[in-house]
Amino acid sequence: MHDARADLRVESLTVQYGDGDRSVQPLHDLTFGADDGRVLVAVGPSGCGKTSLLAVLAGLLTPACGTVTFAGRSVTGLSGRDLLHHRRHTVGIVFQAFNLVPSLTAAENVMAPLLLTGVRTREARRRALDLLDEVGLGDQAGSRPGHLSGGQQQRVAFARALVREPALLLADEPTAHLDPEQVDNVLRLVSDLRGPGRLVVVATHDGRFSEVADSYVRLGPPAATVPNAVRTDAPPLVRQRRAARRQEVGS
Amino acid sequence: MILVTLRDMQWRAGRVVLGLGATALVLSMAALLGALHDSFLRETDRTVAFFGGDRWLVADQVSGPFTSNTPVRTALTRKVEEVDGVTSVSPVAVFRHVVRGASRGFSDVNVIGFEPGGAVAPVPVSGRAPARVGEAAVDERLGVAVGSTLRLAGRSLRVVGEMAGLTYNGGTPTVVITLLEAQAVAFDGQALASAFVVDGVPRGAVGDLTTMSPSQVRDDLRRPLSVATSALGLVAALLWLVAAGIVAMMAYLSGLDRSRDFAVFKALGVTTRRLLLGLVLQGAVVGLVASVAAVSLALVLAPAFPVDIDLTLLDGLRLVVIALLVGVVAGVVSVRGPVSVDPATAFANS
Repeated sequence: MHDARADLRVESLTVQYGDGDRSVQPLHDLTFGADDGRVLVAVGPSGCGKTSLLAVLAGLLTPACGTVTFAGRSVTGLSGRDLLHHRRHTVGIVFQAFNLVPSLTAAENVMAPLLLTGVRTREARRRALDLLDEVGLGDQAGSRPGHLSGGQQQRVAFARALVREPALLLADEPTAHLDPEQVDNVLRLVSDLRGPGRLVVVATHDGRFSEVADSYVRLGPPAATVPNAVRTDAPPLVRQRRAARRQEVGS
Repeated sequence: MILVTLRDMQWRAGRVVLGLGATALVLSMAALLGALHDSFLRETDRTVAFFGGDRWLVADQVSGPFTSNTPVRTALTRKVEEVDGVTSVSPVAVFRHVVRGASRGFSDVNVIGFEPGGAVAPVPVSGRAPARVGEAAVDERLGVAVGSTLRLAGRSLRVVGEMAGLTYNGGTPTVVITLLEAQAVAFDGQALASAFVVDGVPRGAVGDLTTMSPSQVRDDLRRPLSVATSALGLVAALLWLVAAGIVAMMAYLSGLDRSRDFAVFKALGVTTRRLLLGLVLQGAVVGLVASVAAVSLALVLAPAFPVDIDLTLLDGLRLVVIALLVGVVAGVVSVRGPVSVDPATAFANS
């Protein structure tokens, strides 16, 4: 993890695809922030720019204008080796379709980000197995993705995203392909990931994430030409539920 | 990247094995044709070496002893011996003919006539050299054992010796007989020869004879086969291209199949160069394994060819090295598209 606080600041972010009359702006003049140790949930309908937002945060997409600052560094100002370093060492990504490599075992999928950046095989395997144990898949380390359920694949995807201990964890629709029971597991997992030195950003249209969100960003429709509606606090109902749960645990 | 590459090949084992098999088959054909091409060239070297000598003397205006029927008079032997620089002279006859007795019908052969006791002396691997009229030594390719009888132009020849590697004109075996016998067959018994093989270098003209070096004689011997050898070389080159195409196609299809994986890897911070390296490694592995299989296959198939195919260790190594390079180049050229995938596509939900 990084020494700097995992604070995120997004200022006047606009993402545009195409030029002229046929251009689309899924994100327009978006401004929000999230502090270290929190779970930020970006919600909105399909096509509202949730995935584009994650791609910008990951350094995979260059915005038309605006700035993104994470842990005191301008992500939108990075290029070349610094951008590569950001992807390798700062960001962990959980993709909507899991995107596990089918030819690799669960352990090898988790090891891959380490191996591809020069970590020795033995060390990579040890860390991968530890993480798989943590997500409850220690006994499936040798299984290929095709032999795992959707929920298990999702947990492997989380393990892969976490193996480099990223300060910024991005999860794109992590419950989209899961049944209700598995959704609960993912919600628990995301909630457990909350901690100092890390910011978790979840893009979803699944309302149940409001239960684990510390703050959220509501994104507008894709054709929006007005600033996206933004709220950075959890909704009152959720705050009430959470307070009630804390009370239960406390008593 | 090595683990990821090898695992992918394992994952696509069926396709990889099929591609490897096809590549190995094509490469083995290329190797065999290349070796056949080389064999045709090497046999001319061996044939010229069989005669020894430092110079050849042939009739004036003649291209060479193997491609012309214009003889020289053996009566000139003494005159040639007297030329300054000449230490010995051997009149020889060379021509094409057919024999009976080697198979059910006629067998095409090259015939060499030599003077027993002269400088040109066949060295059989079994038996002995012909010493008198009615005796012959034959190349083992003719398939006639020592003690058998051949018929050449109605004359009966007892096989007294067997030689190895004495073929020319595209693997045609040779029958070695005495010059007297050859004169009876080819020159109606007249005292003629195709050429003089001379030890030493004549300093000065020898009547109206033309002097040729052994390399000139070798080139003369190769000329009738130049069309065939060129065609063999061309087909071998085309087969190399086909092999390269198969390797490239395998790498390309693999690249297309894995474009989502590549996008994910790039999103995880893997460089395009590193991805390319993995696919190049895959091409190299395919090229290497296919070439080793091809050499093995070629060694198995070579004896089935009706001519001697000299597949040397050097040929095998050359094949492996070239196949390795072809695999690497084919890998690089074919996967530049798939590896340049936009990492942001890893977010696409399909």
